[in-house]
Amino acid sequence: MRRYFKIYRRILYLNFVSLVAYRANFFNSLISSLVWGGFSIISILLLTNRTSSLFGWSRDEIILLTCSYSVIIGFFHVFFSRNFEYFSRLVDLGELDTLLIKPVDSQFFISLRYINYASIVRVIVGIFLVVYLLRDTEVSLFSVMGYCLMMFFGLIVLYSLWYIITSLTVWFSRLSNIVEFLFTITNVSRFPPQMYREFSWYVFLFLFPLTLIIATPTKFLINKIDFPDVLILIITASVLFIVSRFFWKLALRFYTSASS
Amino acid sequence: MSSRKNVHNMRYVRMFLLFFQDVNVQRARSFVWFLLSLLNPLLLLVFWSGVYAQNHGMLQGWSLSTISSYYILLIIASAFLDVHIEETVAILDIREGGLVKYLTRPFSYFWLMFLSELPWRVFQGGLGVLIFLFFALFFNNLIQLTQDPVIIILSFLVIGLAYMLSFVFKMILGLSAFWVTDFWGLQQLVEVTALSFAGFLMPLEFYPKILEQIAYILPFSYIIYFPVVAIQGKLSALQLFQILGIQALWICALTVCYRYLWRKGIEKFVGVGQ
Repeated sequence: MRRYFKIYRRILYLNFVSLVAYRANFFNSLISSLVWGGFSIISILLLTNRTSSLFGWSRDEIILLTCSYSVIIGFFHVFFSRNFEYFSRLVDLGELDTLLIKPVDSQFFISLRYINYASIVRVIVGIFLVVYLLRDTEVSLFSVMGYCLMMFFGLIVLYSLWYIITSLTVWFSRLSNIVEFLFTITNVSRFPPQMYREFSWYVFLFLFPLTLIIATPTKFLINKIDFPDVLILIITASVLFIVSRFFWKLALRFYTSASS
Repeated sequence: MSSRKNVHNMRYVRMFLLFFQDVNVQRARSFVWFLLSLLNPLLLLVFWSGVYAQNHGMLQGWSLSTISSYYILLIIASAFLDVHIEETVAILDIREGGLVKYLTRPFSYFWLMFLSELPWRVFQGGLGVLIFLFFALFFNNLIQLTQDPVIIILSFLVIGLAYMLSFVFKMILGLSAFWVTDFWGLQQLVEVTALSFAGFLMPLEFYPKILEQIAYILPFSYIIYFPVVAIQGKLSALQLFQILGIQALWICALTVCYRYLWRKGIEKFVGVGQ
């Protein structure tokens, strides 16, 4: 475990060096993060323009949901999404072999070797907006800690789902655009879970893990949380993470390498 | 003379069919691209069905069935009309030098790209039509389309010009790679602007007045929004003629711009190889 922390510290450093070397790229990612973050917030403002409450959530709470989405997605972009973009092309470009022969856990290395520091700006903007929206609400330290903890589990759900689906490229190497699909489907988590439940139970069950990622932490923050919500998120995160490991090991058994 | 012209035209038909085969080979990838066009409108449709369930009536003159048909038609529009040639032009051809092989061929680069993109749009638009038919068969009450033959004919003209407008615009965006070192920043900015003002989010009539006016000035609404509302029958014949006029103006202006950028870009382009 200590060895992995050491490796990760080195990865953080190397990515920082790369940031300093390619400053234009960093600046571009920074603008891109801000633009997308701004778009998701403006779009929810426009969508909820004519309503004061929806699906049992007030307009402010729905906006808070989108701001929390910005925070979680920001973290996801910082630590994972760039890795998944490369991961989806690894098999197609025949580069997976090089990674598999390294003396570290392949899942660790594939999903954590790139850091996108520029996306931190999206996290900061998201946090700023969350604080602004809650300016007239009493928020306890317990709620804030619960919010952070639930966000951590939400991130694990998101990571695991992405890992499971991206692992499919071992069988279907041409599906290198699957990450674009994942970016789009992650949008599902921006809306209240009740929206899907009211529409159709089948749709809700299909999207269930995604509906937990943002809604549970946000509910914790505004004191609308029930104990089962917390439990469901923790169990879902744990199960999905184990499944992602199992699924990756299974996928590797079918991997025939670039040269064969 | 006419047989030479026929042979010349046949070359393009043959190329189109070859590009179609390429799309067929990559149908799984194409299907994933289509899912992107499918998911967002469906998500917003679910959102609006909740809004209407709560309001029990009309919003800005839109009923649940008109807004549902809007989003269902939006699936076809974003699959068929939202051209994605800019990445090929900017990255594969300009940055990685693939353009060299086209410059030595006796074909117009513009039309070659047009023919390579069209099969992708036809394939994905076809999938969109299948989704539309599914809704028309099983959720008939959600679909509301125009029945007027004149409006239908004019709407198809609007769709045709919308495709051309989308294509020329994306070609220009691709050509920006001759000058812009980091193409992705510009591409993302254009994508977000298009998402905001093309009607992907919701009908433009729902926007605050100032944003609605901006959307009508920019070209994006003439690519997605107007073709969708035209086929819904929300526009009169006169309004459709106006839309056709504005689309034609945009296409002319952008074509002039494209030609200028192409000429200047080619002078600047350097292809290296041994």
